Amino acid sequence: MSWRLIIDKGNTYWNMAVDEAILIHREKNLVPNTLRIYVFEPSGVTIGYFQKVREVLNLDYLLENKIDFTRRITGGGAVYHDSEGEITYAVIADIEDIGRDIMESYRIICKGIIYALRKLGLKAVYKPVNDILVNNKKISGSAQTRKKKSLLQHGTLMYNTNLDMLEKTLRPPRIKLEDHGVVRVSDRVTTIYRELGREISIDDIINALIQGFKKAFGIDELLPGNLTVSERKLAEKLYGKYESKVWIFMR
Amino acid sequence: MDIYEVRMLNKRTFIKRVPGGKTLQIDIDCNDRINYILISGDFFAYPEDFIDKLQEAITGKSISEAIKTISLLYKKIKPELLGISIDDIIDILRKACA
Repeated sequence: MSWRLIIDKGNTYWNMAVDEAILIHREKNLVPNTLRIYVFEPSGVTIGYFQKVREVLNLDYLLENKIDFTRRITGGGAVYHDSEGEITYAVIADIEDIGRDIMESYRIICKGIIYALRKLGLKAVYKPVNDILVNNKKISGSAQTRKKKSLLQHGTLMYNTNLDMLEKTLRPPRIKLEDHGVVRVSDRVTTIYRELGREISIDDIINALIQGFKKAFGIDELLPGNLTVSERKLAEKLYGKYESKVWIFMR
Repeated sequence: MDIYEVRMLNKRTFIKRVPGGKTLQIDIDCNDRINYILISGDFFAYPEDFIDKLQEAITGKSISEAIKTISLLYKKIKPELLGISIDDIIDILRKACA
């Protein structure tokens, strides 16, 4: 089975618009299964589809520091995407090629990240539904949405996320922290650099992710490619949604 | 399971951290009818618009009508909820509108 590989970067709105544009094109069978690996530039924040902006984000801090934030089409929690510390992945594929069962498909996709981390020398554990832990701390989080025939799962891999910034931009509910048994966000989150005790190159991390997903999905061929003209056009249109107050403040 | 409650004028907020799951928050204004409801949290719902449809469907209804409506909608759409369950939503509604 041949997949398309896209490696790119963009701002918060563009990145979310591109993921949705690819999903819509995949659903119509206009593009192949796609692995997209990307960076948020500049750093930004995304929240889950069902989250209340004011409940989970420190809006004063975000506005004061002109940090972009938007709502995803996927559920799950709020994420700080550090342009110099976090790589995001998106898997857009036919549901049949990953797994019809939702929980099973999360497990399979997360397996790709676990393989990648193993390649980098870290032992990672999958914590259903959507977390990957190293030494009992979160290093990756994912979120999936589905159309009739295809799915989009995107998620993070933190390699050097500024945990101080993460804590300043996000407002975790007190009740959630109590459940985790610790108080500070940075106490339950970690990064590749922190766990390895040294820095490694971004290329090595990207390569590990590519190998990890290839193994997890049994991909024979992963061909470097770009967005089609039609995907790009749709992403430009969706960009407006992702930066609109109506969408962001829906909840 | 403990449900946290915050009151503000007519609108009340109930927060439940589902054991081993996600956070479910319901902002609600109800007396004999549900005047307003907003369901939020870091859970997953497939399809996502099940939650939006549920909110719309029970607004203006009494609690007993609302619960009937929810089970009908649940049977019709057959959503898959991850991190919360439909009973978590119903439990909070019952408590809020008691």
